[in-house]
Amino acid sequence: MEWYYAKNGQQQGPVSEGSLQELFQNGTIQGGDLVWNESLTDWVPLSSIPGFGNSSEPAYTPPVSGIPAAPASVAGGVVVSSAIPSGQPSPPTYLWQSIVCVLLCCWPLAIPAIVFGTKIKPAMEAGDYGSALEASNKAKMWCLISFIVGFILQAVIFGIAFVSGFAEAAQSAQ
Amino acid sequence: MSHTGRKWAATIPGLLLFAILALYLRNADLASPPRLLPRCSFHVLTGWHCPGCGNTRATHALLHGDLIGALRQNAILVIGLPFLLFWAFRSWMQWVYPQRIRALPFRWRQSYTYTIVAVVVLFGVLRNIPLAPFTYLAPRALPVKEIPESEVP
Repeated sequence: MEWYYAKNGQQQGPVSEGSLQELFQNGTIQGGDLVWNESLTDWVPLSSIPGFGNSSEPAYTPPVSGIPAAPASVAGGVVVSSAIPSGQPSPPTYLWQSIVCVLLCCWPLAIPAIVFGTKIKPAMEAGDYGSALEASNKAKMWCLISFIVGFILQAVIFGIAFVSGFAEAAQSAQ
Repeated sequence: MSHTGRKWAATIPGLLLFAILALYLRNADLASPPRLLPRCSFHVLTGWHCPGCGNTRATHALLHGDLIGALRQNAILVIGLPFLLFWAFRSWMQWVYPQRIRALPFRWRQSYTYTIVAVVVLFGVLRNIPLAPFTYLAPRALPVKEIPESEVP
């Protein structure tokens, strides 16, 4: 299992479970520090991982306190803060799924998926995790729409071709 | 099972599926309706050629080793295919062996994506122009038996 951990607001890793244990034991990372691996949907404090729980640790610290908050950006007079460590891995871009949809499904509906997909990296680079996640979810949604609509359209086209094919066969048999 | 092992285990059925689809397409008879192959819904609905029209015929031609025939059906697919395969392989490598991948000698820019989209859109427009040089960009109709209009429900 490969682990990532957040130290001073920076994502570190990947490291093996053994290395993570070592880092924990030598005090490089503490129970309140956030860690993540592929099986987790979100970053969690290290103390919540079995094997790292430590009763001598101070009381459970809320996830974000161990990390400096992501830089707040001012957009249109409104202070926007994602409140998520800047070391958060980028949300999926769904790029290959979008390209498969463009090639094989209903391509006009897969274009928005690619457009939203390309917005994720710039948003992450600007430290705006919220926008990146939103774009990621929209990319996923358009991939699904393209897939479903494409599938239905193909089914309808097949259906018409078959019905007319049978009609023709029946007519020529007469 | 290790992480890498699991990713390989997910890759193999995907490749098998691709191989089966390729074999199916290779042995398909494109000239006899009803073709059990997907059709471009954009073309069916509008009558225009989209940038992807002819992809099935082009892939069919490629699977029979007919590069010229494939280019004649959809030039942009044939030109783009090596890049697409390279990108697919690289993305897969990045997924399975993230520490082994080396950076490309250039950085992908947003403008490259826009350029590709612009070229594809332009190709889609040009292949619908019914004049001499542009007609080579349009897919060639295969001798498919026409279904009489009256029998289309």
